[in-house]
Amino acid sequence: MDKLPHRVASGADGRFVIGAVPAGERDLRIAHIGYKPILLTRVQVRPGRSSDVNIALEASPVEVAAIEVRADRQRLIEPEVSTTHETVVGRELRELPVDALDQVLELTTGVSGGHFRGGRIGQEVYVVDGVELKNQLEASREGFGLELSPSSLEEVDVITGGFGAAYGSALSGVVSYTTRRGNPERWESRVAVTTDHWAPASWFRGFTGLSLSSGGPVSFLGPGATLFADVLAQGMLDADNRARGLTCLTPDDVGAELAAAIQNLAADAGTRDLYCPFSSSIIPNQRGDKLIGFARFDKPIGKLNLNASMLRNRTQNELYTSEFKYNPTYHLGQRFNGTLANVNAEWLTQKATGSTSFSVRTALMRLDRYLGVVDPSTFDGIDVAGFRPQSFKFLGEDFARKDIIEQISLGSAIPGYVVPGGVASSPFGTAGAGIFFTEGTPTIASWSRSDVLSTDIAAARYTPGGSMYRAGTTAKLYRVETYERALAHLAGSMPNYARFYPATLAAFGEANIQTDDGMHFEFGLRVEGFRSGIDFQADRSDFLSPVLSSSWKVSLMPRVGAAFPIPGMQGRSGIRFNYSRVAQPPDFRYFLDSTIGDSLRTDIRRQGNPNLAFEKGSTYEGGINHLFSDNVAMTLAGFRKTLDNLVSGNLQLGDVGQAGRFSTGDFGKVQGVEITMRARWSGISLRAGWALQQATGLSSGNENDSTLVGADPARTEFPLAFDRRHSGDISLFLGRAAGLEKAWSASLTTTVQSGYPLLRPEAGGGTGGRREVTQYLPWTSITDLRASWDFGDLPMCVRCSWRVVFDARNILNRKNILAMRTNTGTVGPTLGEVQLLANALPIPPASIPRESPAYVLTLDLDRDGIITPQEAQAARFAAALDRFDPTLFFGEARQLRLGFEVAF
Amino acid sequence: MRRVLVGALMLASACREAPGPFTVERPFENDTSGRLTFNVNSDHAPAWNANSDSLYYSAPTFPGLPPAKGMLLSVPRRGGTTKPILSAVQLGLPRQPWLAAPVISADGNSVAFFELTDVKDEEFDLISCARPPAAPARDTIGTHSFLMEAVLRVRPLNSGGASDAARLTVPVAGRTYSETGDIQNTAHPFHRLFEVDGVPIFRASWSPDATRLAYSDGSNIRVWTIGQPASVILPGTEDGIMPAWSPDGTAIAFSKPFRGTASSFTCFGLMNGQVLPAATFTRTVYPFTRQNSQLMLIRPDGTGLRSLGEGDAPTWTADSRAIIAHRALSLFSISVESGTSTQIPNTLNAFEPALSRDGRFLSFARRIEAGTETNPKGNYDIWVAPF
Repeated sequence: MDKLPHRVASGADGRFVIGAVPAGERDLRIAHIGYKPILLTRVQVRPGRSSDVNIALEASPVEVAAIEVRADRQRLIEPEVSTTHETVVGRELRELPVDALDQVLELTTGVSGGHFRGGRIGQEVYVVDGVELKNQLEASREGFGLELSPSSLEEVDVITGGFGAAYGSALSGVVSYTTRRGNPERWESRVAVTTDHWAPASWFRGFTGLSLSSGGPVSFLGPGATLFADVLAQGMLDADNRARGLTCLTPDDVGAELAAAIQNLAADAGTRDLYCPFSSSIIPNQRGDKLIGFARFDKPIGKLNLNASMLRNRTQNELYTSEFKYNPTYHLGQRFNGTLANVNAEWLTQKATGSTSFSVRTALMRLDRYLGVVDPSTFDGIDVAGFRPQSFKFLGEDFARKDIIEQISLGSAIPGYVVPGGVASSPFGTAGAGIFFTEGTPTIASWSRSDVLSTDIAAARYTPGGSMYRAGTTAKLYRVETYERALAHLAGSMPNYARFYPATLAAFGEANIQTDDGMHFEFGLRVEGFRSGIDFQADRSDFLSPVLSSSWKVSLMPRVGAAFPIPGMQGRSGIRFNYSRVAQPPDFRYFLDSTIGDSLRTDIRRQGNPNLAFEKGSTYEGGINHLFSDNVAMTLAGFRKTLDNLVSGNLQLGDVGQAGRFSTGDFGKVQGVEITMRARWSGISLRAGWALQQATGLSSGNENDSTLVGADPARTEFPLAFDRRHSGDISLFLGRAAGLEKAWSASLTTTVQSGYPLLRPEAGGGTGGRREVTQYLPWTSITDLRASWDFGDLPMCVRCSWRVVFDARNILNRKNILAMRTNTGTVGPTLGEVQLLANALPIPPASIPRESPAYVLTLDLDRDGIITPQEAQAARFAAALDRFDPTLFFGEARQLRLGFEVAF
Repeated sequence: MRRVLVGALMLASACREAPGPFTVERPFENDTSGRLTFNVNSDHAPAWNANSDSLYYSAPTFPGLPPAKGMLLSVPRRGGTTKPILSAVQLGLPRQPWLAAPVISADGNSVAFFELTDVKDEEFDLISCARPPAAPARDTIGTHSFLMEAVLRVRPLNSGGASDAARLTVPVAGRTYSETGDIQNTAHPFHRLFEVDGVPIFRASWSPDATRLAYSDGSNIRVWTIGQPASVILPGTEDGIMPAWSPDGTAIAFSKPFRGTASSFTCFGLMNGQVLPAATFTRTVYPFTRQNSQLMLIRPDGTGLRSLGEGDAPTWTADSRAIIAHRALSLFSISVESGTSTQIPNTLNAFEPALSRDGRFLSFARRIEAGTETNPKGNYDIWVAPF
């Protein structure tokens, strides 16, 4: 393997196997005396699977013939693979119009909105250089929490169906990242900057990105030692930009009654200025930035390959909330810190008869999240295009992270937190009282920290015939802390706090057997167990309830797959199927009580269950691949996934004790069909896919609870909340991005999706406030484009080349609607809801003179210098309407960025 | 490389900022109409600061300020939002004081003002009068107050301390108790001015050397040497109110309201469930008017009392040669020497004039007549005009 220590002599028949090659596009060098040597480039190596390479050498009379370079043909179908997966190689990652890897995942057929084949968010697992990782505490709410830079990766492989026994802790998908390593021959570096600060206002959202990567030999540590480092820094003036920016309800957004009220408000000369007084293409109070640093060291020592890597990421941003949008000082914010240290050792023997590897991997990961009120002094420091080297400061974070016993004994509010209120600095003045909070702070402070030590040992045997046998075991030890204080501004309010030490253990064995006639069979078995490590009182509403210890939960997961060519089709068509039993420990947060009202004594609404069992399911999949020509191939796959035990996420209001306890009583199923197309012509590469699926089941809600004891447990299945019926994606690469040696490059991606179901109150009232699905959210689509032009050598810089980059997002300026109010089926409330909010507080009886600090010109409808109670009443409706702004109901905004890249 | 650097610099220099917080529009600032306040209650006693760019005045509170019967406020001369002055004496206190009539010493460093105490006959459920009063002194059920006492307070203008530099208790005549428990109320003309229109009859005036203050207790003009335990009555100043010390220190001008003819009647304070009245009121009430006041002059030593004819709420020009006062519905400049007067234009219904230190602006409290939607009772607002 060129630039890798892997090498082997073939057998007398020319067959060879090279084991444990890092995934990605690799170059293979083949040499034989008397033959012209070949460098076969871009050989696609997949994680955990064999890749067939067939080479015919040409006899050469020249003793030392010049090397012949051939590019390996991109394989449009993989007849030997029984799973459904999508691979994006590093070359494509660096050309795609993406800022983060989750945008890459969205280009996988069957993945949309973070849901893998209709599964809930968090039903997937991430594998970083062979180490399986997950935000096991709160994946369903916060996602993975650890992020890599696209430029730090050799490859991303997304498996949505039939993942092997090596992968656990997932119901719906596996995302495998292979990180880059340094070039052992010379240092290669790249700097890229893009920004939209120069763009016209309608395309500007305040994004600036800087990417630095560099890798090369570390010769003083011996031959083969390499280092790769990558830094990604992004500054954002609007970290969660939306298509309509900071916006207001329009008559088109709402029902007829409210539309008429809005029209009256906007048409009347007196109240016109009260309608939508604050709008902006950039949403205020959403400043933020991202910093990802990655370094990897590789060193071969004989048959032992060592590598160590370190990943550190920090994402921080303010969070826009409607009620605080006129507060000039205090806003919610959040900060995620992720750290991963990874050490791998792999002992590898290469023989013509096969290859054997033993690997030991150890990883330490810390995920730390803080949600609270951003200290305004955060923004006093250095700021380069929205990026701040220093971490966000939060009011009272030191206090909130203080030892919990000491904190409770102090009994004070979190320092800096102030009861929200105020009317100044709002366009509605006193009429906005209780609707907007212009003074004081938001009231919540919460954080979580989970540390995990993961160790796994695996062995693999690869045969020249293409078969592979693997076995391994994994242990993960956790330390988890969570803290939540809902009324942090009140002295004496109690936080929810927990610290516990869960553990998981797993072992697997699998065989991937290839027969001489090209058939592939995969058999695997995985055993996984976990325990919460919490001793708990069975019923927290009954102090006499016994204390129980949580026990180990075990799940056995057989996995079978087969793939084989259709006879008589000359290898142009293949059939595959797989069956998997899948399971994952529930999010650890479900072990814990969660409260509303911030009082453990009176307001338990959801009682955690440390004795929860695995969430389980089964998947069945079958598919057919066909290569229509050398340029076009298609795959058709059908799948069915049954989810037998899902954690019920919501319980009936007021339930306490046994009835109000999390269980794995929910269930559902997803079935669907996926069509994918791969096409390739000179200078053009195309991937496209369409998924049609249906997800139905029982998801407990406030009105229907599958866990009810002795009453009427809900058993009617509805479309699940993530039942997106259609999703399509296109990735088109042109020019250099498609592998052509051209100065220009372009990549265009489009995703088209139907909407999620809208669970609305049942027509006619129903019984028990049941809900039904009569409406789905509208279709959404987004098209992104990235183009670059290579200008060649850079003057005054040896070995430097540079290119200019245009990067445009949502170029069709689609105003995608991502959410709607369930009661109205629109992005707006009813007229009654607006009036209810407007009338929640009485209007102060006193008139406000112009010289008053409370005087606001827009409330003085007749501009006579005095705001009468009647004028304030009219303004209060406008304020309530403004509070219902639909800003966050919309998708990503249109953006245009310009930048450059320098490679040296 | 140069091109790259230039490009990078261009990109860096093009950086824009995140949107700032919403800013409330205040277009009335720098408004040239001259009207500074719009309070539906009465604003009184304008007084200039040393720089002539702001005015201090007193007003009953309004939304946006702590609830109080009277606060000392500052408003920019060009208009805008008022701010309470003397935070230490009127903000964040357990009991909100009733403050009125701030006056600034000639050097601009000290302020004198009054803290008022009223009394209400709230202890009765019903007040029954023997015959309907032709001009009732007040409604004794608690909606109106009866000025009982005032404290003249002096302190540095920028003081944040809790204590005053000096203070003097000023009893106010008009209410007595008999040994039998009967209550005798006499609503003197100054009472009527204060009760009906909120006129700051006691308004003090600094001597040029800032060592003495002239003020009124309603009954007389008094001179207090600051720090002394008592003040001195200037003889012949009975009923004198709103004194103004001349800049050269030689004279004090004041107004003497028209007293008219009083009417007397008897009322009873009744308690629910009791047959006999709990108290008997004897009321003597003088008529209310802001017209027909006499403008008087007297030397600080109590000599030289003389009249300059009709005039109310005087102030002096900087050269001490003329007095500006209300006369016949308008402000007039009245020569001290000759007594001749010149009407000041655009001052209809203007009272309590105050001339800026630089002599360029004239401020006054203008009476807004009753009858508009926002001023059903009529009131006074602060105005400013070039002089």
